[in-house]
Amino acid sequence: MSFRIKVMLFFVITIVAAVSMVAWGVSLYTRRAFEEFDRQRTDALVAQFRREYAQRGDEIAHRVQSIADAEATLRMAMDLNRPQADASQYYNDARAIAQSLQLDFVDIVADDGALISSSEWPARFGYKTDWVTAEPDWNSKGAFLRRVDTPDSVDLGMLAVRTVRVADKRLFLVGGQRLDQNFLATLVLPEGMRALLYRNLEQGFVPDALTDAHGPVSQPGTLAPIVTEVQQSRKEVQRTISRGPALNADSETFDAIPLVGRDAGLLGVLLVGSSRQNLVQMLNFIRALALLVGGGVILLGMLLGWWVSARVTRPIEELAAGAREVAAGHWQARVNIRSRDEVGQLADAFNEMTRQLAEQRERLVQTERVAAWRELARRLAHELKNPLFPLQLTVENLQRAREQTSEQFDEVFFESTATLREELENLKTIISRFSDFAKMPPPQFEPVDLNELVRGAIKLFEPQMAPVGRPPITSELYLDENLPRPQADPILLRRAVENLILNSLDAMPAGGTLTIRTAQRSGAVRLEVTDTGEGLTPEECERLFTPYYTTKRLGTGLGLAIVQSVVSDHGGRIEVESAPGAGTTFRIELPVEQKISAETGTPAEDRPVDPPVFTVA
Amino acid sequence: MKPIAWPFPAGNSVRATIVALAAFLAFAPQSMARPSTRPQAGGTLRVAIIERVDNIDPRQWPAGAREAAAAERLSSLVFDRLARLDEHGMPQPALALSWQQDAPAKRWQFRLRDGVKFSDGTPLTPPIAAMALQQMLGVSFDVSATPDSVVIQADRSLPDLPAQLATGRYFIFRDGADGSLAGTGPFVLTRILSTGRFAQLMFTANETCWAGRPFVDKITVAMNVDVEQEANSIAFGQADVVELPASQVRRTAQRGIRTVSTEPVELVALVFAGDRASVKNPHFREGISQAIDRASIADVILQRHGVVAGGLLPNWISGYGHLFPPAFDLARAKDLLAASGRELSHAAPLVLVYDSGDAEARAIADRVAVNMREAGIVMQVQEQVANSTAKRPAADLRLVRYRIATPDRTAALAGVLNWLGESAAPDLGTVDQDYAAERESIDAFRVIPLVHVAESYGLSPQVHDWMAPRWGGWNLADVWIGPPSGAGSGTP
Repeated sequence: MSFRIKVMLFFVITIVAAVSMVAWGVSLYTRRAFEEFDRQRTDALVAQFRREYAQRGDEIAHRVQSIADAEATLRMAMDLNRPQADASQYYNDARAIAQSLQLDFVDIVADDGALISSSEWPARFGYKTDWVTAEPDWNSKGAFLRRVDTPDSVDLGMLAVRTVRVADKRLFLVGGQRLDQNFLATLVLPEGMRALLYRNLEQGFVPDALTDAHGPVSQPGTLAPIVTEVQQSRKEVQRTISRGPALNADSETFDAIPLVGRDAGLLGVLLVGSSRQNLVQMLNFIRALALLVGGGVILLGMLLGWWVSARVTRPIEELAAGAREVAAGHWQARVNIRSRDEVGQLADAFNEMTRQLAEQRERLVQTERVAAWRELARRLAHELKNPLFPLQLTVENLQRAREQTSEQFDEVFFESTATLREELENLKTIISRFSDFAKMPPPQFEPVDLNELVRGAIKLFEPQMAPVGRPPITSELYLDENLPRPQADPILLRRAVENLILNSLDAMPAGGTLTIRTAQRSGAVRLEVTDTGEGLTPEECERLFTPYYTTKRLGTGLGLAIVQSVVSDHGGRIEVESAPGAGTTFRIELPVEQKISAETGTPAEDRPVDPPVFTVA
Repeated sequence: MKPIAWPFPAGNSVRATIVALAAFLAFAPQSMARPSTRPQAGGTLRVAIIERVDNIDPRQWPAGAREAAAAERLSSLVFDRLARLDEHGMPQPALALSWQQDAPAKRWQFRLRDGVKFSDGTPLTPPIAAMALQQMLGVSFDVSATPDSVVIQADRSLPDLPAQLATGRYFIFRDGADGSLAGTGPFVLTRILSTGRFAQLMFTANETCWAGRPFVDKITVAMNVDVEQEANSIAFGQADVVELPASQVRRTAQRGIRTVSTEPVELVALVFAGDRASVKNPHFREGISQAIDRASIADVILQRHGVVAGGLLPNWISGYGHLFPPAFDLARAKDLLAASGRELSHAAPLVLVYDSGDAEARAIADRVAVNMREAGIVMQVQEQVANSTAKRPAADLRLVRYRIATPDRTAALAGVLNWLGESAAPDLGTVDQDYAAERESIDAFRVIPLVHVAESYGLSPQVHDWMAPRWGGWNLADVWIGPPSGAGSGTP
């Protein structure tokens, strides 16, 4: 991962974390604020319900009291107080009273508890209503909850009882209203809230007993746990009902209020529900806004990060490019960074370094050039001195031979001229070799079977590998038969391989094993030539490919230089691995495909030329 | 043949006597004059009834007992029968002046009154009368016409045929060219108004009625009137005659409105239905009968305008009603029901149905259900909508009403037994025979009589000479509208 990417990621991650933290904080604060508001609203509604409940009770008690205060009621009580009173004539009165006073339940009960008239169940006339007569003073009591039996069902009613006394007999007047969906409809609820009533008139949870202002509730089972909890605890309970695995728009918080009767029995449960829809919508809005803002900020952060990372890494990249230029041999490479910070100082140091390197290289080149000329002069002097010395001696013999007889002179003359000719031929050979090295031809590429080329070269040197009077040299070939055919100049490559083989044979005067391997690498072929000679010292390895350097008594020092030149012209690289007493291995790698310059027909100049690698064990 | 002669046309004689008496009073000394009772012609009599009758065609008689009774009352305004019943329930000449039968009473010949015309001016002839009766009597009777008579031939003995033809739907009518029906009665149906629940019929006096023109010019009959509003209609001057359910009579009278009631003429009873084993068990049925507090129904729900019924016929008709004392023994009822109704403790409740719209029946059914609850039986009360395509409740019991249309014991008992689906005993006729037949039916507990209910009306002070038979029905041809007379209540 590049430094620029790292810097950019750092920026992005930092921004994302910051935005997420802010969004989370806002969401948390909003939720808490809303829940607090919701709780206050629910409390207000519950308080409102309690007021409505008490007010409704007072109203019912007032209406029943008005029945008791009516003159007709007094007449009825007086009439019923007579002996043999006929109560049947009042059979329909309760219904008429209920209609006129808008009461759901009106019962007229005689002193002995017998029901005279009932609006909700007229057919029960004559039956005893003992709970009414059990209370000695109803007139001081307020309204209360009680289950009311009707022909078709059992209802929950808020009742009040009043009495009219004539002589020693009482006439009981029971009136009330049904606590049902109509009662819920009278409650004024803020938006998002609703009230439900569970009439606890049977054992367990009965779904049909749960109603809201519009009738039966859909999916009443979801509220069963709350109702059951209130049934068991008889205490107010608050729970949130969610119709899903998590908080969603259908979630609702319920306050369940137990409604108890006169005998402290639980007759109903009022459930005040507060929808979480607003909260969820607000949270969703905040989440969407956070995502939108976060996405924008992240995008901005990416751009900013890219710009900053580019600003930070561009000098470094220029430095890297400059370093690569220098590595490629462009010693005049400079980086143009105008900055006063550490990167600027680094760039200045780099430029100074390359300047100094160029100067030192120039000096080194001058020195090496001088050294090369000296070496060339030395080698040339050495090469030329060997034949010159015999020439000098031959010429001096000839001069001395003039003082001898002609026969002796002729004999010396012919011998001396032969020697002169031979030495001159040597000189000519020496000059020819130097000339050949000087004018190495450019390679002509074509697909070359390297294995076949190796076999041909080995065959050429077979006589030298089994010389008379010397220990033989055995050859071992490990050739990759699937070796691709590299683009190469077969003549130059053959010359290089022959030089390597010859060099190895020269290194094994006492016999040994010559091992040649071919193999393929990624996009290249490898050739290894290994001898079991005495090996090379590190110093020898370093100078091994220097022209005219040789460790052999009769060598010109041009063989390995030629090999390196050929390898270099093919865009390859050469390594030498050696250790004293452990033999030497030359390893050549050549690319299979050549990038040929259209102008020169040689490998392109921009191809990096790898210097020889020396490995000394 | 045993001829029965009648010297005067019945309707004309009554009305002629009244007119003569009125003329005498008009010219009598002032001390003898009673102008408040002098009949006055003209005016419109406004009648309100509870039921709704959509058709007074005798051929399309309503199935319900109350609707049929209402249709009979309305039809009697337009149509006449061959005979009528007097105050003793004996058949008297109407369109037929006389009749005679053969020895086995299978062939009857009714000689028609001369000079009778239908309201469209067509003379009443034996073929027309025979055609109308043939449609009413059905194919088991052979009705033919002679030049002056209608002959009815039956395949069984019909000793009470004149009495039967004096009740029910056996009216004489004629199909008009436009599809309408013409009658010989005192009124002609001239207008039918029907708007949703509201329906009204208008009858106009038949100026050519053979029995004389009625006193009032018109009669409007508002139908389907709310029971609770009936008394108010009188009080507010919106009606002259209102039909009152028994439960409302007492309250209406307490408001100072004049009420009239007939003898108890309607049987309210429970009839068993369904296939449950318990319901078919006579002991279970007896248990139900024993559990019902009939006195409370009669005294409270019907406000003492019903009579506790132990038998099928009211005592004023049968004379032996006291021999069927209604039993109310809750302890015995519990024992009987517990022993014979075990299956009901684990099954659906007993279902008692009543006709929808009958609030009084609903109250009685509710009371029965309460009584059953006390006896340990859960009973569910459901209404049954007449002519409804909705699925009818699977009833175990039905609360039914049967209108007894004749004061004749045998005819009344035969009608009840026929209505119950029981083949009438062939030897009905004597008191002993009638009692035995009724006893057999009661002891079988196929029907549980609850109460006998009177037919009641509220009358405005302007209504005079309400002379309806004591077994119910109307006689509006003799009613006239005049200045208010004293208020009160009673039985005509």
